[in-house]
Amino acid sequence: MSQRILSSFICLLLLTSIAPAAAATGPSDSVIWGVSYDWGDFEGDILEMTGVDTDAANEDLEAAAEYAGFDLASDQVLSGSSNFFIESWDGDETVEIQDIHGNTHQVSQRITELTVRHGLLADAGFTVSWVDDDEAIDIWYSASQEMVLVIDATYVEYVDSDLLVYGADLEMSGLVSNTADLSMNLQVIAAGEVEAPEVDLGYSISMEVPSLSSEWRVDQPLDYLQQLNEEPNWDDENGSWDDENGSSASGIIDGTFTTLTGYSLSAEISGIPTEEIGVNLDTFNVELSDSIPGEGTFSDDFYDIGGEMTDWGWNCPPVGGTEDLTIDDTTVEVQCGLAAPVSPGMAVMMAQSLAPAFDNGVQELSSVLQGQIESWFEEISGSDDGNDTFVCDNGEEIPAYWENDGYEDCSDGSDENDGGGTFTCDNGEEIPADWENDGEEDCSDGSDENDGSMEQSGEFEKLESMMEALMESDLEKTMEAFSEKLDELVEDNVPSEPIIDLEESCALLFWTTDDSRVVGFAILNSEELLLGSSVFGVKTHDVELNVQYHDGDNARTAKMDIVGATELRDIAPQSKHDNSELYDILGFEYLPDLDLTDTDNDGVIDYFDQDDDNDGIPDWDDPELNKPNDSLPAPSVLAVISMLGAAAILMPRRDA
Amino acid sequence: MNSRKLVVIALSGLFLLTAWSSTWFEISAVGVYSEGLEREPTITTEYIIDSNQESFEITIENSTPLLLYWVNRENVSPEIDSENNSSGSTGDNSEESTSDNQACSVSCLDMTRGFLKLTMIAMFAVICLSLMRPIRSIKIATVVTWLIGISIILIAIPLAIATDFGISSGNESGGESSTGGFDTNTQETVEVNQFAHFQQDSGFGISLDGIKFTYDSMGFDLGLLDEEDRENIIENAPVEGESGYESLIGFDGELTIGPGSLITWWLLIAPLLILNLIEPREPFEEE
Repeated sequence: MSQRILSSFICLLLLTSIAPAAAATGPSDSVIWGVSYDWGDFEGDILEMTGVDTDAANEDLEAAAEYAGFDLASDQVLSGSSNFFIESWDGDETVEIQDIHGNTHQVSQRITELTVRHGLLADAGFTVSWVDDDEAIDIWYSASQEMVLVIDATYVEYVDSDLLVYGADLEMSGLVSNTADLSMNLQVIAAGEVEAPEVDLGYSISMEVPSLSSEWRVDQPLDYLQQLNEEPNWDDENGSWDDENGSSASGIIDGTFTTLTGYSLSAEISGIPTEEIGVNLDTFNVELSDSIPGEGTFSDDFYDIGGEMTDWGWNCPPVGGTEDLTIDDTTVEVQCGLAAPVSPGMAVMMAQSLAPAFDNGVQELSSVLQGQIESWFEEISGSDDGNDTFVCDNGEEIPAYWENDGYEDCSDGSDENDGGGTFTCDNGEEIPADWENDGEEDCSDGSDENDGSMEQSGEFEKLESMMEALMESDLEKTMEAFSEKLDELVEDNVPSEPIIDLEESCALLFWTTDDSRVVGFAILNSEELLLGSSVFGVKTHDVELNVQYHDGDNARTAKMDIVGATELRDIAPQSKHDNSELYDILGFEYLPDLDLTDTDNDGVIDYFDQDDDNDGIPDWDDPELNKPNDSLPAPSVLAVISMLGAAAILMPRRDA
Repeated sequence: MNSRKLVVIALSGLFLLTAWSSTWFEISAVGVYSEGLEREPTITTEYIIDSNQESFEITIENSTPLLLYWVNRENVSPEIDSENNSSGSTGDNSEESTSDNQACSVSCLDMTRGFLKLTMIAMFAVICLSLMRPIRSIKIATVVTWLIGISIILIAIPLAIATDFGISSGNESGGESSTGGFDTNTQETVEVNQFAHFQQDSGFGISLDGIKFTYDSMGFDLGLLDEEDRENIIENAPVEGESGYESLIGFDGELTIGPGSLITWWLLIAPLLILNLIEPREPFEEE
């Protein structure tokens, strides 16, 4: 019998593991639309929209440098994708809910899912090498940035048959993070001296909301969905729509959340003349990091702003009023205007729920920052609160920072007598104490100015002589020539008139009036459709951007493709980030831990090869290369069914 | 010269060169704020010295509570200091830890580097010489040079570092800062004289990594209390749940000081010397 329980438990466990994937999909008749963009197309789209060719700009830089007499190589790479989808449908069941007064209402469910996946990888770098007769400057610079934003939100709104809203529940999770690194190596040779500082700086900040649940119940039913249903009357007297009722508290929202806020800061510095400032180190590396878990509850008035989020009168010529959209080869009659892309209740709930979670996550960090900033201010002002006073010998009071400022502010002059001691020079001479380190040598042997500061140090003299040598070299002429040539070359790459005049653009949303649901949006430019739903009779713009607008089945497929990607490397695959040219420019130091494996022996290492196994399928789409590395494979539906079958066969035998 | 001698010379040269370019000395420390701060902030430091540079690395994990602690606490006024001394804290002269650094004209470590460089050259020279002229005095010279080298590695380098740091003898017991000086380079070290009912426990042992010091301390940080509450805490240590108990700060540290891989390579020269010493007497011109 225990075998049976064990088998049942394992089967249940496997079924549970596929539950989230199943819940992430709406029914086949749901309303769904969204946008996706591959950032690898960004440079091409910039060229399409503005006529500026970034590759040509890089070439101009290099050509101008060559003309001026030095070497410059630079490149930048951007990849990743941004995706968002909004899917909504009606629930099958009628449920009972209570408003905040305890009154029970029979309502149906309107479910909305918001899915956001954004991942971005950006790298940039350059090298500069300038050599004169005896002087030389070499610069090596590299910067990279990674961003990720993941949001999954499911909103269940409770409405009656008249589309009056009685409350809603929200379940969501999210992650936002940003990581950046910057490295710079500089080598300056001048006046027979060498300075070669190296600096590496990095930071990373992330905020994760692993779970957030909130519940909103109304004081009295809200009609913001009805405002999408019936056109309000225009009030000529007030110059506004009759239904614009502004924001007001309506009910209570409460909920719970967990957060995980993390950050790290790092700095590695070497080659800086630290001995002169009292630190005897050649390389200094500091790293701070923290991961702050948080949890909390909140309860607040719900602010209804539904009336402010709908505008029936908004048109984008030639689109306006009532239009016909084509979705999945079906014509849908829609109303045009401005409205929240999701239910106004969802927008408000997300904002009101995320605000306390965010506050909780950054509370400790902001306390540190605030405290540190205050202490810096105190250091700058030289007092604890800026209101400190100095009491003169005769009882007068003056601000503390007037003490020893070189002016007698007390009538008896006692505020300037504190530093009235003497300083004994190395040769025995005595001078007033406040003459020490005042920038002038008052002792005949100059010992009053020998406090080890940079100005008096050998290091300062070295830097000064290097600077003088550079000023006397051809550096200035070289930079002038570079600048002039660059101006001349860049002119060829900038069109006299923009290809797309952004001032001629406008956007609007479409909703169906029978069920008050937003079904899509459109951006128009010069009366042509640039992006969005296919509107009957509206011409598509000549400029074709690579931004993908999806609706209907296309959107359903696109969402299924991306919804499982929750890590940066899934949303923005490294294999799609072609930084081989940057590596050629920056060399080994750019990717010091580069894996040199070349699976298909084609001479291009896997890291730069976009088809590692040479099977004709790009790595980011190749299922063979994207197998999970976990020791336990993720169970497919088929695997679970097989497991259930195996368990069914196994159990009777054991019992026999 | 026979092939065995050539091998000895080649190996000696190789070991000396590797020793020169390897890590000379390492100080690593891990300190955990075990009481008073959330999530036990951990400071890990590593100070590495080699033939041409000194590098320092500090990592602070769970850093936010520690940063908050440093930001929120205030320095206690001298009057409280003197009263606090009577309540069990040790020492009031924080300047002692930054004692003068005049023992060497510039940097003691640089001076020691020079000595070791000379010793290494001398080592190679006497090894070659002893192979060519294996007379007693030269053999003794090789042993003496090797002993000088190991003395520099084990004694002179640590002493030079200590002198450059301005660490007086016995400071490892943590007489100055609440963290026993384990995080001195953070500039945020809180001095012991700012604590009431300060207790510390230190010890040391020898392991394969070098000398290991441990340091545990606990006390009520007066800088976290309002000025009017400090007297009460100095007179009576609060127990858990009482007002002022939240100022209890505990710190556990472990510091390991040891030679880097330099010592390994220097020790590897010893078998070569022994081989050379026990070599049967043979004619100088063998070939």
